[in-house]
Amino acid sequence: MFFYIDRWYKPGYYNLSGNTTSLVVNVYQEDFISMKGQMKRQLRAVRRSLRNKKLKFVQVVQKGNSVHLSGTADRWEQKVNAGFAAAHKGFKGVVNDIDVRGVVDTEMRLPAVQDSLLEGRSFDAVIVGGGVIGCAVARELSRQNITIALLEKESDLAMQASGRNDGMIHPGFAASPGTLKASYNVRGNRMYTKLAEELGFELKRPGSIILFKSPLMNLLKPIFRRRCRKNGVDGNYRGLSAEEVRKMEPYVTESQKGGFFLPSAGIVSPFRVTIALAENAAQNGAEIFLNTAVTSMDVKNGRISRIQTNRGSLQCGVLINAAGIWGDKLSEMAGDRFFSLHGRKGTDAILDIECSFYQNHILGMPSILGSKKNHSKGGGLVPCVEGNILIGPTSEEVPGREDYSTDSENFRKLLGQLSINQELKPVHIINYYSGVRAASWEEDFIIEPSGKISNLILAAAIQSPGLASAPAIGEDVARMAVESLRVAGVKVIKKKNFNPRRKAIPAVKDLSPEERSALIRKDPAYGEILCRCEEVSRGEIRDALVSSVPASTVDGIKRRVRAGAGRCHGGFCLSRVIMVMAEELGIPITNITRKGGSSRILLHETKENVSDETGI
Amino acid sequence: MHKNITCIACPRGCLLTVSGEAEDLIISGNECRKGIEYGRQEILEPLRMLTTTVRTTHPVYTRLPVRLSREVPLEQIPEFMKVINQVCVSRTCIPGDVMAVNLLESEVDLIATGELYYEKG
Amino acid sequence: MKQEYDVVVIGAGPAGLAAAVAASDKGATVCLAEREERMGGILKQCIHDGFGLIRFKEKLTGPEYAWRYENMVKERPVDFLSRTFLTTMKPENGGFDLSFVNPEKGVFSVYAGSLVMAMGCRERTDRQIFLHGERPSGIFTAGQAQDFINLKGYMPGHKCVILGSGDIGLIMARRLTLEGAEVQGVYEIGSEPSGLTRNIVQCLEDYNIPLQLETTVTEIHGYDRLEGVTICRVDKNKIPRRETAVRIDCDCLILSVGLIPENDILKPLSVKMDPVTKGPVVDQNLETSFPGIFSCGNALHVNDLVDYVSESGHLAGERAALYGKKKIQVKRRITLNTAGNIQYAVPQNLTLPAKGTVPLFFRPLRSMGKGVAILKQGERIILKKNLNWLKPSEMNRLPIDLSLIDPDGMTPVFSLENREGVHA
Repeated sequence: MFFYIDRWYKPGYYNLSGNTTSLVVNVYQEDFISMKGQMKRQLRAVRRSLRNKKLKFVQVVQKGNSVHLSGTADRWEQKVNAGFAAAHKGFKGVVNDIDVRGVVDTEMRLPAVQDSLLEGRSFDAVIVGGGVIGCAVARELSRQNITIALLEKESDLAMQASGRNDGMIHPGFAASPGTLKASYNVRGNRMYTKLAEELGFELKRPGSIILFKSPLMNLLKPIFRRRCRKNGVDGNYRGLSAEEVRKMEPYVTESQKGGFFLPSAGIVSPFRVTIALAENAAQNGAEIFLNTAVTSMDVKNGRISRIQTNRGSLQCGVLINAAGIWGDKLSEMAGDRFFSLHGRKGTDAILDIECSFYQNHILGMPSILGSKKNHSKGGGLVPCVEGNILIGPTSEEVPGREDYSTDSENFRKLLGQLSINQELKPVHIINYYSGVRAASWEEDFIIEPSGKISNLILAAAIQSPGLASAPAIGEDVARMAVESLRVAGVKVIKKKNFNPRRKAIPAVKDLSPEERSALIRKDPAYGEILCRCEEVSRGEIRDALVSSVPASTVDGIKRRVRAGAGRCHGGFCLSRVIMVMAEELGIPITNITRKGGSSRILLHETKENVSDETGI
Repeated sequence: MHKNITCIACPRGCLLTVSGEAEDLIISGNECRKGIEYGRQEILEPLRMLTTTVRTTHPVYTRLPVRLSREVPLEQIPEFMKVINQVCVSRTCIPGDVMAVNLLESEVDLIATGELYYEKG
Repeated sequence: MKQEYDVVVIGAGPAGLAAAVAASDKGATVCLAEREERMGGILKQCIHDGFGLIRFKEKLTGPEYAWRYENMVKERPVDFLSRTFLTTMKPENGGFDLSFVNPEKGVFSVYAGSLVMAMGCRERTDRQIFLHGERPSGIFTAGQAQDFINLKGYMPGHKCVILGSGDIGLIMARRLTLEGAEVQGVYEIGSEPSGLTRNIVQCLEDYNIPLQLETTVTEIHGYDRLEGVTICRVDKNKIPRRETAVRIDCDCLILSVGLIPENDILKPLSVKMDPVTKGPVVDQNLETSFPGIFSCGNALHVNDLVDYVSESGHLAGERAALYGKKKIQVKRRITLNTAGNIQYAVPQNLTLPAKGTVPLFFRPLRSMGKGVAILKQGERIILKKNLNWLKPSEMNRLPIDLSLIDPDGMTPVFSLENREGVHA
C-alpha cells in the first residue's frame, strides 16, 4: 500500500515491465476500498490547509490521483499560496487552475517558421525540449541503434532555464533527503567529471562555502554533516571556523562567523554543457530540430500516435517530455494531466572578469538554509568557469512563463548580495539576465514513465539542481524510454560505434603560445581577434557556425565562443561578428538576428534604391 | 519676425533674440560682438557643411565618406542628400578628390574624405 | 628572434598615431600595433567635420584628420603591425616583453624599451546604466550605430530614441535623420546636455529633434525587436518619477551615456588609476606610476577634441622616446592637488625638477560663468587666469611653466573659484 502512495505510482495504469507491474496491480485490487477512504482524507487535508491560509474561494476536486484547484483569485500570490497549500497532502500531483483577475494565462511563444520539414517522418524517440535535460537524454539515447529527434521551439538550445542559471553543479546538500532532487543531484554531480572530459567542456570544482552570519549558526554544523551523509554528498565536507573562512576567502566581509565547506560543488557554463551534449548526440546520429514546436498530439489506445508541429506532423515510438516550463502543457496535450507548473523568476548579474581575483569558492548566502518561504535555493556569489563572478539568483513567483525581463526592484535585492564580499561593487556589473524556473507545487522533479500514456516519459518540473542532476536524469530517462520501446516491440541494441567524445571549438586564448601559433599557421583565422574583451578569434566564430549543432544567431555565437560576452557588451565586436556570420552563412547581413524570430539587428542598407549604374 | 536662437560662436551659448526684418535685424541677448554676426547669418541664411557617405562597388569598404566643397544653405541639405545618394564610387580615391561636380547646379562639388583602393586590372 | 624597439605604441587611433610620429622624430625605433586592419581608430567612422581646428587650423572630417596622421606615420621608419592583438605584457630588463598575436605571425614576442598606451575608450552600455525591461534587439551604443551606418552602410532602425546627450549621440541623431530615419527625441537624465552646444544646435535644432532634460528611459519593451521604451522625468536625485511615465513607440534605442577609458591591460601591472578619469595617474611626461609606461589620448582621460588627443599623443611619444636614453635626475614626485570647482585635472602628478611648458587639462565640476583658475605653491601664485563660461562637458587647457615650480617647495594646488564679487 505505502509503496505506491510514496512513489506516486497510479495503481492499475502503471506500465512497467516485469515484477513491478504485477505488484502494482495486486495492490490496486486488494486495497481499492481503502484507497477511496485515503483519497477522501487527503481532500479534507487540502481543504483544511486552504482554510488555514484564508483561501476559501478555492474549489477542490479530485481527478484520478491528483487534486485540481479552481476559482478566481485577486492576486497571483493567492494562487501561489493555494498551490503550495495543496501540495504534499498525499496526492500524486496538484493541478492549479485558479484564475487570477487581470492576469491572462501566458501562451507559449511559437516559432514563426511554418514548413513541412518533418511531415511524414517517424522516429523511435522524440525528445521535446532542447534544454540540458533533453540534450542529456538525447546523448544517452544516441548510444542505442534507434532514430532520435530532438525538437526545440527556440532558435537555439538552452534558450530558457538551461541557459539562464548560474552554472553551479550543486553538491547535493540543499535538497531534502529522500527526494528525487537529492538523489539525482549527488549522482549527477559525480558524473560531471567524466562528462566534461568526454565532451570537452570546462568543469571546475572550486567547492562551495555556506557562510554563517551569526556565531549561533555554528551549532548547525553537525546537522549539516548528517544531511550530507544522508544525501551521500561527495568529498570531505566540513565545518569551517571564522578564521578558516577568511583564510580561504580573504575578501569576505568581517561579519562572517564561520561556515560549512562542500568541496564537490562545481561550476560549468550551462549552455555550453547543453550544446556539447546535443553536439555529441548529433555526432552519434540524433537529429536536432530547432524552431520546432509541438502544437498538439493524437492519442490512440493510451499511446501517442502522431505529433503535430509547425513543421509538419511526425510519428514516434516514445516521446520524452523535457519541455521545461511547458512540461505540464505538453503532458496535457498527451492527455496525462496530473501536475501543473508555475514560473519562478530569478535574476543573476555578471561582474567584470577583473574581479575574479577576489574570490576562490562559491559563496552561499546564509538564507539558503532550508527557508520554507524560499522554495528554490537562494543566491550567492559564483565564480564562473570563464572567471567572471556571478551574483544571484533572486526568486520571485511570476505569471509569465517566458518573461525574461528584469526590473529595478529585484535588481536592487540582487545588489544586496554583493555585501558578502567587500571588494565587489555595483560598478563591476557588466550584464544581468533573468530565467524562469519550472516549479511544480510539490517542488520535486517528476522523472517517470507516464501512468496513463504508455509511450510518454516525463522529465518535468526540473528546476535547481536540475543542471547538476542532468547527466543522471539523462541516463534514467533514456533507460525508461528504451524500456518503453522494448515493450512496444522495438529491438533496441547498443551501437558499436558510439563515440562519447566531442571535439570542442578550441579556445585560442587558453592555448600555450606554441599550440596557438601552430593552429594559426594551419589557419590564420585563429590569429585574427574579433572580440577584444574575451579575445575570441574569427576562427572560433566560424567554427561555431559549422559545428554539428551550429549557431545561427548572434546570441548563439556569444554562448558558444563568448564573442560579445565581455565588458563592452559587443560594442566593438557586434558589427564584426555579423559580418563574419553573413559571409560564412552566405546570407544578407540584414537577415542576421540576435536570437531568432524577428530580432533582426540591421533593417536595410543605407541608400537602398541606388543602382550601380550611376557609378563614377 | 521674432526668433530665439542659441549662439554657438563660443562655448558660452548665449540665447539670442532676433527681431525685425531682413535689412534691419535687431539682435539682443548676445554678450559679445560675435553674437551679432552669428545671429545675422543664422537668420538670413544659415549655412551648414554636409558630410555623409556614398556607395562604392568595393567588396570590403562598401561606403566612402564624403563632404561638400563648401557650406550650403541648411534648407537645401535634403536635396543635396538626394543627389549624393545616387552616387556610387568604383575607383581608387584619396581624401580631397572630387567625386562629383556642380551638384544641383550650385557650383558645389562632392569631395571624398576617405581613402578607397582598388587593385588594378 | 625577438624584435626590439625603443618604443612600442599600442593603438593606432589619433593618440597612437601622434605618439608614433613624435617618438620616431626623437630618433627612437618605433613599433605601432593596432587590432584593426587600418589606422585611424574611431576617427574612421566620425565622418562629420570639426576636427583639427587647433592642430591643423582647418575644419576637417574624422577620416581626413586620420589620413593626415597616417601619412605622417608612413613617411617615417615606423613598423606598423595591423590586425595585431596584445595579449600580455611583462616587465623585463628595464623594458617590457610584449606578447602579440596576429594572423600572419601567430604568437610572437616584441621587446619594448618603453610603452605608449593609446587604446582609446569604450562606450558605456545599457547594462552599465542598469536599464531594465525586456531584452530585444535594436539597442545600440551611438558608436555602434555610427559604425553600422557610416562604415558598413546599414540602418539600425527607422524610428529612433536617443538616450543621453553625449556628442556622438547628437551627431547620430543628425546622421540617422539624413539617412531617412525618424528620431523621436533625445532624452538626458542630467539637467544640462552633456554634448557641445554646437552639436545641440546643428544636430538637433536644425532638424527639429526635441531634447528633453531630466528625463530617462526606465523600461524596454519588445521580445524580439524593440517596440518601445518608457520614459520618465527624474527628480533632483535622478530617481524616476513613476507618475510621469510615458511610453514611446520606437524600433531603435541609441545610447550616448558616457565613455570609459580602456586600460584593462594595465591591471596586472598594478598601475595606479585615477578613480575620476578612469585612466592612469600620470606626471607631466604622461608617464604612469609604472616607469616606462606612458598613457595618452582617451585612454588617459576622455577628451572632447581630437586635437587635444593628438597633443597628448605627441607628448607621450616624445617622452617615451627619451625614456632610458637621457637619465633625468628625479628629485621628487609630488601630487598636484586640486581644489574648488575642479572635477579632475591631468597630469595628477609632477616629477621635479622640471622645465618647459606642459598643458594642464581639466574639467570643472559644475558650470561656471566667470571663474578664475589658480595654481599655487603655498602662498606663491604660479599661474592665475580668468576663464569664462566653463562647463563640465567642455575640457579646458592651460599651459603651465614648470620651471616656476620649486622642487623643494610645498605641494602645488590647482583650483577653480568664482571671480570675486561675481556670481555666475
